[in-house]
Amino acid sequence: MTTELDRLELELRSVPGVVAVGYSGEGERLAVHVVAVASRAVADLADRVQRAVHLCAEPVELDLLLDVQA
Amino acid sequence: MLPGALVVPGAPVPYTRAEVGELTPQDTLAPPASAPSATVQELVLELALAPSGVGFIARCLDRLVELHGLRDAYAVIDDEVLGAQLFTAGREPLPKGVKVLDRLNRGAGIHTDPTLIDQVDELEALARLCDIALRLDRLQYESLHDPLTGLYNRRGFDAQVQQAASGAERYGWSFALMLLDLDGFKAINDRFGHHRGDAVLRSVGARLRRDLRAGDIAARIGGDEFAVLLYLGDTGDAHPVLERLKAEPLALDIDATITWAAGVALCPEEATDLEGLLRLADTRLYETKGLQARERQG
Repeated sequence: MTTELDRLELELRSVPGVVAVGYSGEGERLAVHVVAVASRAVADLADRVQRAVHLCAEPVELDLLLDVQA
Repeated sequence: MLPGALVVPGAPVPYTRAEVGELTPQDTLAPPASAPSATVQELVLELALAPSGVGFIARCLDRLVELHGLRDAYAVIDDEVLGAQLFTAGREPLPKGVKVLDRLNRGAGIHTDPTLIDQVDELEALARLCDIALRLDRLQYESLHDPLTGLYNRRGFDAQVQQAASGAERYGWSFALMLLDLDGFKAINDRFGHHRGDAVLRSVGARLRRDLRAGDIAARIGGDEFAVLLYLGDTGDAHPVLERLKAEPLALDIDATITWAAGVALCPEEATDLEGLLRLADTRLYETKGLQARERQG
């Protein structure tokens, strides 16, 4: 894992609602898995998560899971 | 003060017995009930040298899994700003069928499968280290970012430019430093209030993030002043990004218009250090603003 991905993880966790970040794959096939809980999520959660991932210097795929469990 | 004690002007005055009160056996320096394990001691040192807190937490969980041959380990850290956060060993995504709230509801600490009944002290010590690691990361993040837009602040941007300038010097990676100034922002603040002004700044931040390419860096470095670091690659041209920004007016939910003025400096062609680049970009920004003002006057 690079410092760049550490920075991305922290930026994602700073988005209100995000509670977990995981990675899978390697290099150009790296995917970032973001889990958020609906009760704490901001309205523009998906936008903010996408923007954070978009500016990552390494190419990543995004998998955003919103937990709406009561 | 002890009778006959030497008093050096400016030196701290020692406490008197009355001020300190009576010492009890519990006040003396006694070793802790149980010394920290070798693993905890190693991780304390590692935390001191860790480049990032979230990376440290991941390594901490990985070490635990490896050391005890666990099937799984995860940490729940309740940060005062970020709220409850879940960290998995190996930074794995959550396994299918596992509900994140079920894990968060187990409360702050390190949870393992199987449960390490004999390692309660070690797990508590590691949980405290992980808690500190996340807090350090968050404090560093806050010190380098603008809370309103989520972009880098001046301090964070300066660090990024200095890093890019080193790359330009060593490897020839050229970049452009672009300063952006919002025309019409003060009028919005005066007419609609600071709340609306803040919303405009947030929109600008979102717009910059959207229009920049991966790896480019945007910052809010003053009230309505933004800065962008653009890696130039083979094209060597920063203007397509500026044209993209100018092509689409900023979407505002108020009856007002915002336009951009920009000043660009190139590294290493025109300057190779932060101060030189900022000075050059700033001069060009004010030339552009002057030109735009003259054009408006007709």
